[in-house]
Amino acid sequence: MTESAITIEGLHFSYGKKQVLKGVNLEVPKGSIFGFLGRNGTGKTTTIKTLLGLQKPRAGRCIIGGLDSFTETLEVRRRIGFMAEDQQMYGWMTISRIIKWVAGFYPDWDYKFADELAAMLGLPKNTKVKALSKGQNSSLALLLALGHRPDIVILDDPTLGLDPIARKDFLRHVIELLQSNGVTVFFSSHLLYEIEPVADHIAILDKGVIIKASRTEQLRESVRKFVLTPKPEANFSGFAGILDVLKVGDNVSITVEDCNEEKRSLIKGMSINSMTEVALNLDEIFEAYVIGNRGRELSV
Amino acid sequence: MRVSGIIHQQICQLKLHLLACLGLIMVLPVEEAVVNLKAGDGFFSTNMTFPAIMFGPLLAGLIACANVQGDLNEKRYIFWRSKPANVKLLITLKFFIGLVASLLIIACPVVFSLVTNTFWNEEGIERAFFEYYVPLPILIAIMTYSLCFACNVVVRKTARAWLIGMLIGCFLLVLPFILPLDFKDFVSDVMIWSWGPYLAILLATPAAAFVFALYAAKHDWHLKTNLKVLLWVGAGLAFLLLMLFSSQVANIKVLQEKEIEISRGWQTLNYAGNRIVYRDQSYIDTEKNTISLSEIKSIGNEVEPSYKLAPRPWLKGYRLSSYPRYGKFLYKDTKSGLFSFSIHAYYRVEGKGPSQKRFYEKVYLRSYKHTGETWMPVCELDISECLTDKINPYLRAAMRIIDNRLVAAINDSLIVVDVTNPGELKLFDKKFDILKKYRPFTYKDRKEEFSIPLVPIEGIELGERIRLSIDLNYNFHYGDNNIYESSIVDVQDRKFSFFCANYDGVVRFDVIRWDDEKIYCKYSSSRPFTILESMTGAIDFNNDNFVKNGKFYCRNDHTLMVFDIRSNRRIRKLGHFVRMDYDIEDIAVLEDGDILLSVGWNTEFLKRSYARKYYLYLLKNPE
Repeated sequence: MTESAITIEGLHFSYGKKQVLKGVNLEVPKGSIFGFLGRNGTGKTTTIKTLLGLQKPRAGRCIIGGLDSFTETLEVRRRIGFMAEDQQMYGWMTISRIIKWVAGFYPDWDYKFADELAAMLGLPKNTKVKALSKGQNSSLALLLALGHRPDIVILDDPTLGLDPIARKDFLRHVIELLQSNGVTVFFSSHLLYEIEPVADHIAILDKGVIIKASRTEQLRESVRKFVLTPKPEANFSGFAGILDVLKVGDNVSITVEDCNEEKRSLIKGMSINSMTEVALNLDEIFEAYVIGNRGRELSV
Repeated sequence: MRVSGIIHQQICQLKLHLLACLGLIMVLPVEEAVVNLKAGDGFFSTNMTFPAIMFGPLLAGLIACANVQGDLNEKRYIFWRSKPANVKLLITLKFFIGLVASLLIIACPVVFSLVTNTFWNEEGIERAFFEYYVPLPILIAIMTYSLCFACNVVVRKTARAWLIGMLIGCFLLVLPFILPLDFKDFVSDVMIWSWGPYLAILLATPAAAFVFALYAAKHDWHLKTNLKVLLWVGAGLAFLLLMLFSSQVANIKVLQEKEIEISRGWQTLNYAGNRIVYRDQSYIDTEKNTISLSEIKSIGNEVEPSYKLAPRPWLKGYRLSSYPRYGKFLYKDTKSGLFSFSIHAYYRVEGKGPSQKRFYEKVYLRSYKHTGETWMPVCELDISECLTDKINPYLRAAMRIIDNRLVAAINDSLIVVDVTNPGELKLFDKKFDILKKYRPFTYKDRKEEFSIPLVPIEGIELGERIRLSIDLNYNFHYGDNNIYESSIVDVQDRKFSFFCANYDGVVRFDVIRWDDEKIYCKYSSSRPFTILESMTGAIDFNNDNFVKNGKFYCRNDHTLMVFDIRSNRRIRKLGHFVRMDYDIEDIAVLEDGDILLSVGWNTEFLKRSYARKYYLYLLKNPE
C-alpha cells in the first residue's frame, strides 16, 4: 500500500450557516504530484487553509507527514512549503530582505539553495517586491515556499493571474524543481489543461465533497464517451456509471465512468448499428463529473 | 523565530507613519519656538507643549492601526500565517514596538520643550508642569493605542479600526460618568484618589485589549464590518450616551419657572397641613401647573424673620438663638386657626475671639397664632431644665409634631408636649441626657449590623418612636435636625427602611428588629453616585434628604435627585435636576406629587454685594 503524505478524513467546514466542506476524504500518496480540481467556490482554498491549520474544521482531521495539522500546526508548517493563490508580500522589502525575514521562521532554512533558486528563477535580489512582475512575484513566492527544502509542497492556484506563457513557464520550473527532489506536491487549480501534463493523481471536489479521486492515467482510461443510435427498446435508466448523456438528433452520446468490456458490450447491444468510442481529455472528464446530467434527462 | 528580523521589519514598516505622526505632533511646539525666536526671546516652546501632546492619543491610535495593517491584508495574512510563525510572540513584539514608538513620538514635544528651554530660555521652565500634566495624555494614549491595535487585529481595515477604537476609548472614558459603578470602595482601598475609576480603566483597558488582540490573532478572528452598520451603531451608541448623560443632569420636567419680585430673605417653603407656605407670607397654589401666591396675612413691607415679630422673644442681657432657623417654621393648622411653634434659647457671651464662651441659661417653647395681621404669641413653656450642659458653643434642636404631641430635642434632652390646643401647651414627658448615645450612621456602615437607641418617651405610638429615633440619629449629632417636616424613614407593611446619602451615593438600611431599648438595623442596598452625579452636585449627608411616598429626595445647593425606593432590592434613580448657577434654598413635595423648589441666583455685583434674583420652580415629579 502506498504511504500517504497527506490524509484528510471526514472534513467538515462552515462559514456561518453556509456549509462549505461536507465530509472531504482524501489520500495524497507520498512523492506524487496531486492535482486538486474544482470549480471556483467549491472549497479548494478552504480545504487547503484547513490543511494548514489556519482554520478549525467543524469535524474531521488532516494529517500531513504524520502530524495533525490542527494540534501540531507549527511543526506541520515547518515541514511543508505553501504558496497561496495571488499571494501578496511586503512590497517595501527587497527580495534579499524578504528571504531573510522568511528564513527567520525556519530553523533549517537552506540559504544556498535559496540563492540557487533565485538565480534559476531569475529573481534580482536587490529589487523591491513591489517592483516585481506577476510572474516574478509568483517565482518569489515559490522560492519562499521551497527555501527550507520541504517534503510536501502545497500550491493553491499558483498561476492565478499569470498570462498563458508565464503560466507554462512557471509550471515548467515548478515541476522540474520538485520532481527532481522527490517532493510531494498538492496542487489546486481550476485550469485543467494546466494540471493534465503534470499531475499523476487528481481529485475532483464539487459542492464540498470529493466526487472522484484517482491516478490521472487511470482516470483517462476509465472514462469514455460512446456515440450511438439507440434501438427503440434501449433502456439506459438502470445503467450504472453514466456521467452524462447528450441527445443529438437520432444519436446519443453517453459518457461512462469505470468503463470496461462488459459495459462496452452492453452499450453496443443497445445500438442499432455500430457505435463510436471516444477517449476524453481531463477537461472533458472534469466537465462530465461536475456538470454531467447522470442520465437524468435521458428520454430515448 | 528570529526576533531581530521581526523588529527590523516592524520598524521599517512603521517608519513613514512615525515620521508623519512626528511631523503632526511637533507642528505646534516648533511654530511657537519660531515665533519666540522671531520676537527675539529665543528658540523655545512652552505653551504649545501640552496642546501638542493632547494629540498623542489620536496619533497613538493611528500608529496602532498602521502597526498591524501591513500584516492583516487578507492575502498577505495568509502569506505569513502559513509560515511557522509563533503568532503570540509576533503580535506581542508588534504591539510593544508600536507602543514604544508611540510613546517616543508623544514624548518628543516634551523633550523639545525641555531642551529648548534649558538652552535658549533665560527664565527656564517649570518642570513640575510636565510631571503634573504629561502622565494623563500618555495614559490615555496607551489606552487608545491598545484599543485601536485590538480593533485592527479583528476588523483589519485601518480607518474603521481607528474609528471603532476611538469610539470605544471615548465610551470607556465617559462610562464612569454615567454608570453607578460600585468600585469606589475597591479603589479607595488601594489608593486615596477620587479619580480612581479612571486610573483603573486606563490601566485595565490596555491589558484587556492586548490579551484580546493576542487571542483574536491566534484564532484568526475576523469581524467583517459594514460601514453603514458601523455608522448606525455609532449613532446609536452616541444617542444612548446622550440619553444617559442627560438623565443625569436635567431630566426632571420644569412645569413652570416663576420669578419672584423680592429683594432678600429666606426663600422657605413650609408645610401647613396640606398647603405650602412661602416665606411665612403666602400660600402657594399650583393648579393647572401654574404657581400662584396668595398672602396669608398683611405684614406690610416686613421681610425680617418673623421671630422678630413676636413681641416678647427678647430678654435683656441675653442673646437669642431660635429654632427652626433660617426662616423655617413648624405650623399646625387647626380649626381655630394657624399656629406656629418656636424654641427660643437665651445665652450670655463671655470672652472674645477664640476663647469666647456661650452660656445657655433659658429655653422656651413658644406657640404663636396667626391673627390676620401678625403672629401673636399665645403660650410659652419654660423648658430650661433641658439645658443640662449650659456651656455649649451652639444649641442643637429638633422638633416634630406627632398627632397632637410635639416632641422637641434640645441638646441631649427630649420633651413631649401636648399641643392639642396650641394656645395651652402642656408638658407630657421629659427625659434628660438621653441623646448622648446617639451617633450618626453613614454610607460606610454597610458591613455589620448596627443599633440605634429607641427614644424612651411616653405617649407616642411605637412606629412613630422608631421613625423619630432613626431621624434623630441621622445627623442630630452635628447640629439642628429639620425633622419637623421630613423623615428619612420609609414604612411599608410595618417594615421600616431608611435612607441616607453622602458623596458616595444613596444607601438603604432595613430595620430588622427592635426591643425596648434599641432598634437593630442592617445594610440592604445602595446606589452609588456616578462621577457625573458627583460633579454636578456632591450630595452631602448634612443636606436635607427625605423620603416621601416611596421616593427618596436628595439635594444640595444646586442639585435635586429623586430615587424610587419602592423595590426592596434596588434603588432606582428617577430624575435629576441641576442648576449649577442657582442655589436651591428649599424644597417641598406637593399633595399631587409635583415638586416645588425655591431658588436664588446672584446676578451682578452691585454696591459691594450681588444683586440676587429669586425663582419658584414647579417640577413634574418623575415616575
